[in-house]
Amino acid sequence: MMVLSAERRASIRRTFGQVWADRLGRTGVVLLGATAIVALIGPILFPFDPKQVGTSASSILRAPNGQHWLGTDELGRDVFRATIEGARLSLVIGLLATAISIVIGSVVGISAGYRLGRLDTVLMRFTDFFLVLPAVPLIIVLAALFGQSTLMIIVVIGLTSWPATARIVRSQVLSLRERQFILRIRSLGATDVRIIRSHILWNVMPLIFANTVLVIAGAILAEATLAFLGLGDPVQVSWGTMLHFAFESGATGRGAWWYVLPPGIGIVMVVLGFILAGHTLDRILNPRLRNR
Amino acid sequence: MALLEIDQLSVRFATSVGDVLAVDRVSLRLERGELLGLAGESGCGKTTTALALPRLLPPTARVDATRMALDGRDLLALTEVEMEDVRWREIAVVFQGAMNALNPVMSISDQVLEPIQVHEPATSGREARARVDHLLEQVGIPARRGREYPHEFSGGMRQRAMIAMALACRPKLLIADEPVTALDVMVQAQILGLLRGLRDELGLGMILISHDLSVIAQACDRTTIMYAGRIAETGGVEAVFEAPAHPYTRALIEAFPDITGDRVFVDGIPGVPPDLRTPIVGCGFAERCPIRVDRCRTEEPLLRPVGGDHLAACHLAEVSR
Repeated sequence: MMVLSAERRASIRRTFGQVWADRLGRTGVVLLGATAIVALIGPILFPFDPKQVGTSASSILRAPNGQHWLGTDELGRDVFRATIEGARLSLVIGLLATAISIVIGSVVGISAGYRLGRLDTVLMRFTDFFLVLPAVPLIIVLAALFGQSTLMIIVVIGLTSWPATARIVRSQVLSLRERQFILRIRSLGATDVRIIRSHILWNVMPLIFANTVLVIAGAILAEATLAFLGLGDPVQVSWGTMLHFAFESGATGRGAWWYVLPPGIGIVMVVLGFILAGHTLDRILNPRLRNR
Repeated sequence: MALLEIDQLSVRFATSVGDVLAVDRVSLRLERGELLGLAGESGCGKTTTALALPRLLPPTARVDATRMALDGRDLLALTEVEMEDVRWREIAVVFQGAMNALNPVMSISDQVLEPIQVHEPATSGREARARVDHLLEQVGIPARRGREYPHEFSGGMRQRAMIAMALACRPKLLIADEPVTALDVMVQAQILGLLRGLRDELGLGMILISHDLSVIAQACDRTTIMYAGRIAETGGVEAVFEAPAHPYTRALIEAFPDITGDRVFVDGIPGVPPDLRTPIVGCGFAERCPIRVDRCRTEEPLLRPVGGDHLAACHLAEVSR
């Protein structure tokens, strides 16, 4: 079902070309590509061992030098290596949480928009409930309830970030379901499953995709927020936990900029990359924003 | 036995302002291999009449008929499940505005394939593909272009694809609702030629719905002119257009400028069709009719022969000839 035809591959290539042609889009792609490369091969070149702590008082919070390019943290560990390691976890959490969020959002949006009636009302009130709930306090409560593991963080972020997707997908499905070709296929006697699978889904796919990229940015930010507040997995290094420990250990007060800036800049770069790429995609794929 | 027999078909729509009688006791016959043109202005009930056959009207429609049979099979007695089977396999429809009825993100051949997948799931993938290629060639689309997407097709090509789709399950009756309306005249002629060719090749019965009399005259064997939900006149295309017996038909024909005649200002038919929410007393066309007599307002004119199978619903039919 998901096998990509030559035409579809060509159209994906074309879309990528359009993103690349846009200055902001290209900036986003470069930022993301750089982060992805760092996250993929960085830890192999510069492995980070959280147990490799400093042995003397002088090894803690040392400024950048020849041995530690970005100095050391409050336990005397290498900040450069920790930052590279953190990129991996931040991206993984962002991507997996987004996957959960997109699946829920799409299923809710498509069912509500396609079925309408009572199901729509119930699903949309449910969506509204999640939409108006302030996300961060909710995530804090959920994270506190379900514990501090990476998996829990992923699930909690995924479960709280889908309402916007559901709304967007639903509105698109609402218009699609009244389109001539859907009515024609319905008159053919095609089942709802068939209509959704081979017609509705492919038509909302660009929208879902453009939205996905923006959701990832939000998810990475949410992870950093949680971890900074001390709700992350303390054993794993992510940019959020680094900032948390930097704050906890008073690194900021002691002027240890080399401990605070790398994870901070990392977060900004990734989020900015996703947002730039996402907005460009949105402009290309969303018919209403497309400039002709 | 005729391919299609409709006797006394009436369709009412329940609306918030009361029932609207959209089709009023319409009877039609269609032979195999015959092309019948349903003509009339907007809202006269031509589409409603045709879509009542495969039960594709909205749920607010109430359909009554003394008989509706396709190939001797009573369409009124079918259950909804049996009807699903008749739709597309026996009665196929090319919908109005069909050129916009293609999924923009699905290739043409995949869309032509769909009716086969839905209605004949037992067909093997390869056989179905071969049939799609054949169908595309049949409607004049090179099979290799089936891989393309709707935006790569012109309006005429898209209409051809829609026709291929309608023919996918080898129907006996094809209903084409305004199949050439948004096309330019050259393409219109091509599509009409295609429909006639398919009719000859496949022995299909076809109902062609159009508001454009030139389309009907060009493509059809017989025509039925409808007005305000009723049949005004019916007969062979030549008889009806050469010697229209109903003043409405005459007015419609006169509303067309003559390509060889003098330059004249065509002013159409004055007035508007009657409100179908209130029952029509007498002749529906009486208010706009240039030759009406008192009787037209009180007594409904019934269809009666004016020559062979040429029928007209006008009290003055013989007189006005």
